[in-house]
Amino acid sequence: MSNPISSQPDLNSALLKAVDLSITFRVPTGSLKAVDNVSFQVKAGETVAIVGESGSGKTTLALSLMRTNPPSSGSIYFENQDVTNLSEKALKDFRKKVQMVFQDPYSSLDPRMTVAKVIGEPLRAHHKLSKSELREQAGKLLEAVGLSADLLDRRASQFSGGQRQRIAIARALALNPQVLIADEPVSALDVSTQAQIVNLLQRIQEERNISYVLVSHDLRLVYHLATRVVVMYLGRVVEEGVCDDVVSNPQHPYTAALLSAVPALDEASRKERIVLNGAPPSPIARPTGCSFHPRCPIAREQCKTQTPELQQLPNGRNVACFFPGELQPHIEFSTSTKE
Amino acid sequence: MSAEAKPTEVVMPFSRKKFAKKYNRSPLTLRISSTFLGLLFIVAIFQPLFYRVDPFLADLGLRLQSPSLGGAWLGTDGLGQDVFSRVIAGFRWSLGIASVGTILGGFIGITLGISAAWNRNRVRIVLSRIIDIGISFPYLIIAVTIVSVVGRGFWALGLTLGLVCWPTIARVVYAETLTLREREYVTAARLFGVTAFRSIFTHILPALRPTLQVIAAFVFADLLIAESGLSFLGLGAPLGTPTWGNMLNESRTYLATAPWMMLGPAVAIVLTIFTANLLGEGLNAREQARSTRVSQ
Amino acid sequence: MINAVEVKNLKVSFPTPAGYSAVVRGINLTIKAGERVAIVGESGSGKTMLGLSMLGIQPTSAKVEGEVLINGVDMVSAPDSVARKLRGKDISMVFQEPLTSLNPVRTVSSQLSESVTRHTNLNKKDAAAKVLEVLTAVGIPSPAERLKAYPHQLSGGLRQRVMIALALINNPQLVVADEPTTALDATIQAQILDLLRSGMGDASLMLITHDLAVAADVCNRIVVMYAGNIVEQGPVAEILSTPKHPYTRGLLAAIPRFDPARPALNPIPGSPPQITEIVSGCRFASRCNYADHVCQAAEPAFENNVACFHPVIGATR
Ligand SMILES: Nc1ncnc2c1ncn2[C@@H]1O[C@H](COP(=O)(O)OP(=O)(O)OP(=O)(O)O)[C@@H](O)[C@H]1O
Ligand SMILES: Nc1ncnc2c1ncn2[C@@H]1O[C@H](COP(=O)(O)OP(=O)(O)O)[C@@H](O)[C@H]1O
Ligand code: SF4
Ligand code: SF4
Ligand SMILES: [Mg+2]
Ligand SMILES: [Mg+2]
Repeated sequence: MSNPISSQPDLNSALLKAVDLSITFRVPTGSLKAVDNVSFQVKAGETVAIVGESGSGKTTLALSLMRTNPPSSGSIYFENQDVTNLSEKALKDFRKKVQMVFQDPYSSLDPRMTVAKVIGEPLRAHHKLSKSELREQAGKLLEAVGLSADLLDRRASQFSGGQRQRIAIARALALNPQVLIADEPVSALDVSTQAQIVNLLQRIQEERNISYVLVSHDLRLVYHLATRVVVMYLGRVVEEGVCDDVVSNPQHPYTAALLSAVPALDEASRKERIVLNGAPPSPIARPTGCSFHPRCPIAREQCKTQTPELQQLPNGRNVACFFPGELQPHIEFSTSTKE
Repeated sequence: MSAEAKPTEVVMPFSRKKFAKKYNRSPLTLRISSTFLGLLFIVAIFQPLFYRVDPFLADLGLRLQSPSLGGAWLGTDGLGQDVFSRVIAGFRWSLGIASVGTILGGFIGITLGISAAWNRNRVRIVLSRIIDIGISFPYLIIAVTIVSVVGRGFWALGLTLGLVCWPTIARVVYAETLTLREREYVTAARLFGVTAFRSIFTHILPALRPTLQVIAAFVFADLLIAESGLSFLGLGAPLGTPTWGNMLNESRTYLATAPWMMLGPAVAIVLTIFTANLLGEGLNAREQARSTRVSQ
Repeated sequence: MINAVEVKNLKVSFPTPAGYSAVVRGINLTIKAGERVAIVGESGSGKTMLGLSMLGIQPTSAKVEGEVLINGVDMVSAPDSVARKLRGKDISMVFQEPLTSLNPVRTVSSQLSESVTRHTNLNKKDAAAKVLEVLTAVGIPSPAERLKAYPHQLSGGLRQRVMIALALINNPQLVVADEPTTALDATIQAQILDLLRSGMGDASLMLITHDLAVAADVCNRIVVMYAGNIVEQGPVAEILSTPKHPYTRGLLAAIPRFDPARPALNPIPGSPPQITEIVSGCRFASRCNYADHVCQAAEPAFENNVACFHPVIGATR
């Protein structure tokens, strides 16, 4: 079915893995490569963050990891099993183990359903449970996300954004997944509610040893939660590595700019901010050479014609740039001692 | 442990909606029209209770009597049958046929509309073409053709109208399902391993319900017209059957001598159609009000 | 002229089944010429209603009391014909979602030049020059080419720049910007924050946001709102280093930082009171770590820039 050499899974502990994944959409003007040759893996218990601006293909990638749309090339492995071409029936097991939380807690819950029904939905799809068993399980899940089981009969539309996101998380946990894909799980919430959800996600990870794929453009949040970071630009991975290293010593100019763009509480970061020109182009009109060159503060002639490949640096970092590490942002690291 | 949020109070506590409460909050048009239509259906179901005399009782001695409070309230027809009782009898035909037609048309339209929207690629293209073609056909003409083959009668007419009225329903269902299926909660259901069939029943149909109610009211009104029209042209119910269309048709002969004969059936048709349309408007208004309330 | 705007005891209330309840509860706020003030608070604290009612464009069901003085005119009591003259000229607003606040069927240039000709007696040619000038000033690349564009043809960042241009075009005293960057991407947000900080000419800015970091990034003064009241205010540096109100401290502790120790975030527990909820005493008491019986009994007055019976002394963290 798939190429036996390139897709031979190595026998490490990768739980979920994408290999050379590309996703193309047909659009009136031709085809649009939303995800271009992306590979990465998620190990048990770790949090891999996917960062990038809107349109960089994060959601498309996340959804295709969940096997909603077939990739145009490449493969997806779960526990070393190739799930790329499994039928929906054969996916049943996979569906239990990989789950998702969406960005918008308003559109991801059916406003007409009661909380019990919302949380019961995945349970009913996989287990034969009586009504009272369903309620009991839903109640437990609701309590696991910090809501009272008394709320089971309320309709989803009666809750605030933060409460809805808790319900969405409870629903995603219903089948006891091993991997939770969270697409911008807090970006629709305000700061103090964000912190509540972030703490909840951390607590759940500690309790259940779940792996997270965290899609986000907020690097403060990513730094707080992630173990590894994948930075995407226009559908391609431009940098990938251990979170601490990527933040303290970014190699790609785009990563540097993203880090520098974080609104800062201190003046120094603001003064030395790297502000990029313009906005990312559409993947239909991908610039020649390095896709980032029209916005790159350190672009040279070479960058306009040649395309940098994703390469591993001696320090283990993967980066797609001819001049890695040249541009560095000013980041103020707080130094608190652990309480 | 850090401060985990306590569950906060829920935004607005709703008690289980009682019918009365719902009724009182509905727009006036909706209240009037639904009450009135309900009454009409009661008349249709229990019609013998409302007869003045047997509607089939022909008494040539009493033919072409003009309306009088003491005798035939709406006069009598050419066979001496009581017009009022025949108008009442017409309720069963008109409302019944329109109901059968709406239900069958609704079933076909919903099935086709959802199937077209749910599938992708070729299936969708084929089904949506079928819907487009259905829309562009003049449905009365098809109805006439079918009736002329299968014959007349209550079920023949009802089912025929059902077979021709689905395209409008299918079109609306198709368009709405297209947007509904892209809702994130529908995608989510798929990711949880919920089957398409179940997803349609739990997410799509409940969301379609308000729209379906509105369109059903309008289709119902349309079929009332269609049924009367067909009968009037002599293509509907068998001759002599007390339907409003037939009665109008018969009254034509006596237009000069007994013009009151058409009054009863004409008023009944106009009133019923008006009520059904009003119901549609009312349901629509309620939906509008609801959606603005939700978006605030 | 020293003050761009003076807000005196401003109240905004909505009708509820139990009578009117206030979502802005008597706010006093003066913004000086050239000042950039941030209004910070959680969702539902009344920030947007404060902003809208300052321009006199609150929802029709709202009842507004108090005074909003701009150029000696009280926007609250002035007849609409007078208020309309000030709106778009002396005071203007930038919204979160530019696509819904720009007219989709009119070009950028026609919307901008209409605003100029409505409020000044410039002729068409001068107005066109003014439009080009302000589009350049807000950093729209090759502005002459964008004049004929419709809003939907522009990217989110460019649209927000057009909104800001529209707000600035008549040299207003005050621009109210309501969450102008929440809908934007990280790198585009940085561009717009730069523009708000240093590209506003002489206009004062009132920036509404729930993110203290964004507030610190752009403004010189921070005003913290909670449940319709101002609970603390002060210069940015002071608010960040020595916040006195427990709520301000809570907001600060909720922000994740680049801290290698990854200390747990400290969210403020619970959520703000609903508008219909009747609260006696301090409205923050149910969520406050410092609350005691005094706080339950009476509502703290706003004194020395803070409304709290037990203001916290000392630095954060
Ligand atoms: N049209 C309205 N009718 C009734 N209540 C309203 C209306 N508009 C707003 N409110 C209420 O007024 C309060 C303040 O709303 P406002 O929009 O000013 O909050 P905000 O601080 O801007 O919040 P956010 O950060 O979510 O934008 C809220 O409790 C809200 O529910
Ligand atoms: N169904 C689709 N059809 C066509 N183009 C799409 C579709 N979904 C996403 N895209 C395009 O793919 C690119 C990546 O989108 P997305 O994955 O949503 O990015 P992100 O989540 O990083 O914002 C964008 O250019 C977007 O317009
Ligand atoms: S390859 Fe050139 S243009 Fe691309 S990121 Fe590196 S320096 Fe910039
Ligand atoms: S007055 Fe009391 S309850 Fe209110 S913020 Fe101050 S300490 Fe907390
Ligand atoms: Mg996305
Ligand atoms: Mg607001």
